Amino acid sequence: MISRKLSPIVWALCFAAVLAAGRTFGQDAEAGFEARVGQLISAGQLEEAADQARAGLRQFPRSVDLEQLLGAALFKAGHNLEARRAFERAVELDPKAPQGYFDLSLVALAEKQYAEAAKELERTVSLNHRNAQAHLLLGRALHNLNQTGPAIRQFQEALTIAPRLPLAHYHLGFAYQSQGKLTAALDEYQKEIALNPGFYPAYWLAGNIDLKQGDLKAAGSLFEQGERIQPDGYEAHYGLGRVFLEQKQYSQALPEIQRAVDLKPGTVEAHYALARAYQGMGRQHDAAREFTICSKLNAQKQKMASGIAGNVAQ
Amino acid sequence: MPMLRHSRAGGNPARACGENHALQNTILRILPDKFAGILKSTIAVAAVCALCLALLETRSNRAMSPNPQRDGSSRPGQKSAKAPDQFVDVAKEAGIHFRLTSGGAEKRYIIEAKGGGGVAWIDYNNDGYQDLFLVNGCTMELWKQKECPPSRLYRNNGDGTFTDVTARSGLDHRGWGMGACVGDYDNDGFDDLYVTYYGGNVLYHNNGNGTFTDVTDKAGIRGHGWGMGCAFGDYDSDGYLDLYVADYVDVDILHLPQPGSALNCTYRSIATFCGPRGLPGGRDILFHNNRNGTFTDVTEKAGIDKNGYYGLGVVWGDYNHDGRPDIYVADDSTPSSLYRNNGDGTFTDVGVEAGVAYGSEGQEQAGMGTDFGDYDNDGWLDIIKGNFSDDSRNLYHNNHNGTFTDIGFPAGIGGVGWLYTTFGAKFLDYDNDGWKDIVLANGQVFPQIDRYKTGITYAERPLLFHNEGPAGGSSALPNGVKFKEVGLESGPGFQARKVSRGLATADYDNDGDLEIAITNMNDSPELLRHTSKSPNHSILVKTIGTRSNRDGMGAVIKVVSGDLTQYDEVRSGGSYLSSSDLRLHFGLGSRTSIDRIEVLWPSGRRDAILHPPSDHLLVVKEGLGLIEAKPLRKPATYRGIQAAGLEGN
Repeated sequence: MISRKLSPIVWALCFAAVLAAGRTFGQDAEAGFEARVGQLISAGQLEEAADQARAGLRQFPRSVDLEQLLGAALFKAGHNLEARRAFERAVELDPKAPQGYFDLSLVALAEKQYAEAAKELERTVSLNHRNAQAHLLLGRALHNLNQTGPAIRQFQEALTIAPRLPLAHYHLGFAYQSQGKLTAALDEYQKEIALNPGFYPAYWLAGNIDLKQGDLKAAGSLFEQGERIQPDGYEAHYGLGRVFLEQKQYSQALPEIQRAVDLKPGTVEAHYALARAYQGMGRQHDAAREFTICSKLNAQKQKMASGIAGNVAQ
Repeated sequence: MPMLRHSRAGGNPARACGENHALQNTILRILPDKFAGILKSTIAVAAVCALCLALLETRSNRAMSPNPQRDGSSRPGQKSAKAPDQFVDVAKEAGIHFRLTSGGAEKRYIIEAKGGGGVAWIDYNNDGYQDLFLVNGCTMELWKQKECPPSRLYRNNGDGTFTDVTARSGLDHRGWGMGACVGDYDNDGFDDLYVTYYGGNVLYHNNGNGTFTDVTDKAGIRGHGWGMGCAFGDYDSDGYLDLYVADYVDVDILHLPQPGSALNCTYRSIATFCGPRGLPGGRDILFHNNRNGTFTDVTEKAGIDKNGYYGLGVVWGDYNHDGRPDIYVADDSTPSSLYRNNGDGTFTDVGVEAGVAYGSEGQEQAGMGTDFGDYDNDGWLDIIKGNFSDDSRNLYHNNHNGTFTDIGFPAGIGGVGWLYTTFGAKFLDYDNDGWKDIVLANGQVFPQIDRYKTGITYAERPLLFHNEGPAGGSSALPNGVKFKEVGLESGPGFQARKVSRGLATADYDNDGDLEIAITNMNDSPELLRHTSKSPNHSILVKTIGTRSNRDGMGAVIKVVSGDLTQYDEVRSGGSYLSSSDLRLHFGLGSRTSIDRIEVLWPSGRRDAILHPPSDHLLVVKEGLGLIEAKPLRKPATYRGIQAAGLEGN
């Protein structure tokens, strides 16, 4: 009797156990796919990673993680359209997860689709307003949409959440600079340098502001540091050459500017600086040659550039 | 799984913020912790991506990026806490009821945004008061109908008010007007007027009876294309004024490309009117005065504008002290030109090697208005030039060796209003302290910019840079001179945001200080007049040539007053499509006596005047020296101004 009475319970328990075992097995199998895909991505085997993710999705078609991994592999491989589809499927599967929108924003940013990126990032921060990185990227997207004021607010928000967030001071500085607030920009670049001492662009952008404002000593120091970080950095060599030019130390300017020209031969500013260095040294013939190069390069740019001021559209 | 991801994405702000590495919260944050290795590698990849994106953005923006006391004594280093001079717009009260027509609100075509706005001060009736000529533009619709509104001449009543005398003046040409310049081309003692237009310019001969006659065809001086800035100057010192006319683009305005239709029709990815880039440049023209009422186009022979740059502002000046007037042209989006006068009827464009063609980094700039002036009182002409937004305006300091150094930024005029687009640009000593200040008229060209939040606005306030004198700046600056922008503390006249174009200065009330006329797009002009000012002293000098041209254009005047020595040259044109009072104005600070005035005439003759009075209009005639000294009015009341309650002197 007992066994007869218990049998349905036992059967139920057994069924539950089988189900649980199957589920565990399924989770383990899904995790296994995720692990393999992750390993392949880290090994740079992106196509294989994508294939593996697709295989996993055939077994686990509702796996959000596998869709996102597939998207990641495809994005890294440069297949942005397919990556976007994978990320979109992940969002469809789990529309309340901010990560999916964030992923989509990265694709949009990579394709310079700033309005699209801003839309996805706004969704991201609406679901998780404490995501500093999303605020940072939203600021970048907005800045590229000519919304500099709102962009600055996003950068500031990012820094409020995460005061040491890499690149946040840099981008805030860049936004200030685009508004002509050079002192504020310089301050932000300096903060970025303090937090992120290996980040080369902050040095030459800060150096450029010091140079423009006539603080040649500070500019020179920044460009020198930039050269140490990136010995083949065009901007640092050019900037240091400009500092020497302003100090009328033409013989010291020359090798720096020449190096800049060698690094980026078709750059107007470098040839112009070289011409000025030769002019200062009394080498008029050489100066004339370089001025001619400047004129030709500017004429070439004339055909390509847009805008009444010749500002290149972003 | 979804629940787990939710908690990962939203539950740990510190991790989500990515405090340890760029883009830590990237696409692969979905991975469980057990895949930390993958996480680290992907974070690294993402960080690299972020850096690349940052660099790409930086590079792409770099083309846009470069890349602020009164001194009543005028003695270096002596500064006081005096209230700054105050300006107020008195145009309406003075009877200037004018509205500049220039296309529609959207500025779909370049001519609507760049065209018009010229302003010229001219004492056309020789009554001793500067009259005001305002050039009018047009609209596409009115142009097609050949019904462009007329330009206007306002006679100065001598009491602070003006009367519109256009109707009986003979200044009746209708067209899309641009700029104007003033000069007595036939030496008859009455200043004539040259007005530039799209589609052919006009020379008005002053009949001496309050009327003008259009003598363009007879004089052979219509030009072609799209005339912009113009300026009279006697380049061959034959005693007759020649004429330089800047030409902009060579287009049919009825067949201009549509906004946003090409690469050269965008700004910051915003669809805008097209050009000037992508449009063929017009060639500037140099007209030689044949001394018989006619002119000859000598552009080719003289070697002018061989590349057809987009010419806008024009000014004459002897920058290299060789006794021959040279020409500086502010070109838009192309190298600006400095034409050195070779003395044989030809010119050489030395702009590039002189350092005044480009910005400090060799980049082509959108030059608009320009002016010559010796801001640091070293006896050599320097250059101011206005440019587009996102670019520093230039202050080219004359190095005394044929070259210039752009010191705009370190001298304090580059950083303020960085986003402003500067059209009118003029040296002036507005507070009579003996040091030339700078006034700039600003306004963007793309009204669409207001739909965005870039920090750039379509309407912009004028900027007033006070010359702080040698004690103002650092020893690294030429003569230590630095400027400070004081517009916001200089009265309501400098507060209003407008879309400004032309700017010209004159002492229209003969009270010893300079007033400023500014034109505004699709708006009324401003006449900025002092309501309160420093007690500094000044003089006006009017030159009358005999062997030299009648106006004495090109005459170099040196004024010595104690430790203050100033130089200037008589010139027409300059700024943006405008022409200022031909009489030279010199502030004297607190000095009440002048040691001497020396005049070097274009003919080579020198005149010296010893101990002339201060606070006078001094009329100097070539070979005779001082022939008349009229006391400047230290004004009490002017009818129109007083009625408006604006009198403050």
